[in-house]
Amino acid sequence: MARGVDFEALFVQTEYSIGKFLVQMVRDRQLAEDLLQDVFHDAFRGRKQLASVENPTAWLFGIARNHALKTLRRQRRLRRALEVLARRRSPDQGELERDIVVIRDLLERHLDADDRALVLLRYLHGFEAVELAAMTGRSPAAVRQRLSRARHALAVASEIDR
Amino acid sequence: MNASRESELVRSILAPLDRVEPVQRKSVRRRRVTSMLTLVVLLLAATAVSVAIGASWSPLSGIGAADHPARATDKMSPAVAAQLQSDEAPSGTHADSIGKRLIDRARLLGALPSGRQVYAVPSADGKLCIVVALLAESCSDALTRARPITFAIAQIGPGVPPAVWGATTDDVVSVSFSIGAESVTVPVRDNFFAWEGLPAQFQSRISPVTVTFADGSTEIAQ
Repeated sequence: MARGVDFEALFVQTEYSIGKFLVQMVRDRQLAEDLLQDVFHDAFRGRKQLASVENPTAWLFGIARNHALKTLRRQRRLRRALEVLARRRSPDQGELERDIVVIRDLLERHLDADDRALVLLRYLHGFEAVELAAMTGRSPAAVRQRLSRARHALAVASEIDR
Repeated sequence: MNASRESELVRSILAPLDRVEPVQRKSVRRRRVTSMLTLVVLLLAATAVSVAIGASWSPLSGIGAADHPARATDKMSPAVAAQLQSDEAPSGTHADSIGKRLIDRARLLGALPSGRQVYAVPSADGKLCIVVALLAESCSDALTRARPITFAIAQIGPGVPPAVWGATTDDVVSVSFSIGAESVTVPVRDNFFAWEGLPAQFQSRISPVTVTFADGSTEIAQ
C-alpha cells in the first residue's frame, strides 16, 4: 500500500485538473473517464517512483498525457466518425459546447496529438518548459521550439478562420 | 506577431476549453470528513473487477450476514438516516458518483469497540457504503473475490484511539496489519471486523492489509 495520506492527497489535489485535461484531449467523456481510472491505476502501481520525483503533479500529468496520446493514436478514425455523427444529432448544443467543438477542430486540423498535449499543458495547465521536458523526455529547448511552432500555427490558423 | 502576442492569442483561443467539466474517478469516494468531527477516514480498496449484474444481484451480495430480510435491528435511527442524506451529492451532478443511499435496505453488520453501530447500505448506483453511525461513511464498488474487503481507518486526533473496520466477503476469516510496531490480526465475524487501538497510536502508520481466507490462503489487499 502506498503511504496512504501523501499518495491520497496527491490524487485529491490533481484529480480535478487531470480529469479536465483528459476531456480536453480526447473529447469522449466516457473514454476520458476510463482513461482517468487507468491513469490513477498506473500511478498507484508506480507510486514508489514518487520518492525520487521532483514534481509529483507533473509526473501524474505525464502519465495522463501518455495515456491520452496512446488512445488518440488508436482511435483517430473512429473518433472522427463519431464526432460528426454526434454533431448531427445535437443541433441544440449550448454555445460553450459549440465553441469547444470549433476549438478542438482547429487544434486537430493544425496540430498533431503530441503538440496538442503540449499546448494544453502549457497554456491551460501552466506547466513550464522544464516540466514539460521531464514529461516528454525531450530537452527544454526542444519543447520550447515545438511550442513556438504550435503557437505560430494556431495564430496563423485563427487569422485565416476569421 | 511576436511570441508574447502569440501566447496571448493562443490562451484566448483555448479559453473555452478551460471551462470543460472534468471527469471523475468512477468508483470510490475515498475520503469523507464530517462536519462534526475532525476525522481522517481512509478507504483501502482492492483493484475492482467488473461484476455481471444479474436480476438478483445487489451491492450486498457476497456478504452473507447481510443477505436476509430486514430485521428490527437493521432499522437506522432518524439521525443516522439524516447523516446519509447529508452525504448525498445533488442528483445528476458530476459529483454524484455513488447514488441515493437505499436506507430501507441497510443491514446492521456489527459495532465498533466504542459501541457505534456499523451498517452496510447499498446505493441506487450499485455501490456498497459502510456506515458508522453518526461518525463516517465510506463507499466503494461491491465486494468480489478479487476485492474481498473494505477497510476504513479513523485517526481522529490526540487522545482518541485509532479504529479500523470493514466488511468482507464470506470466505474471509481475518485481516492483519501492523500499526507502528504492533502486529494486529482481527478476526472476521459475520462478514465484519473492527479493531480499536490505543490513544498513543493515533498517528501511527498502518501497513498494507493481509487478508486470510477460509482455505488458508492469504493476499495483500491493494
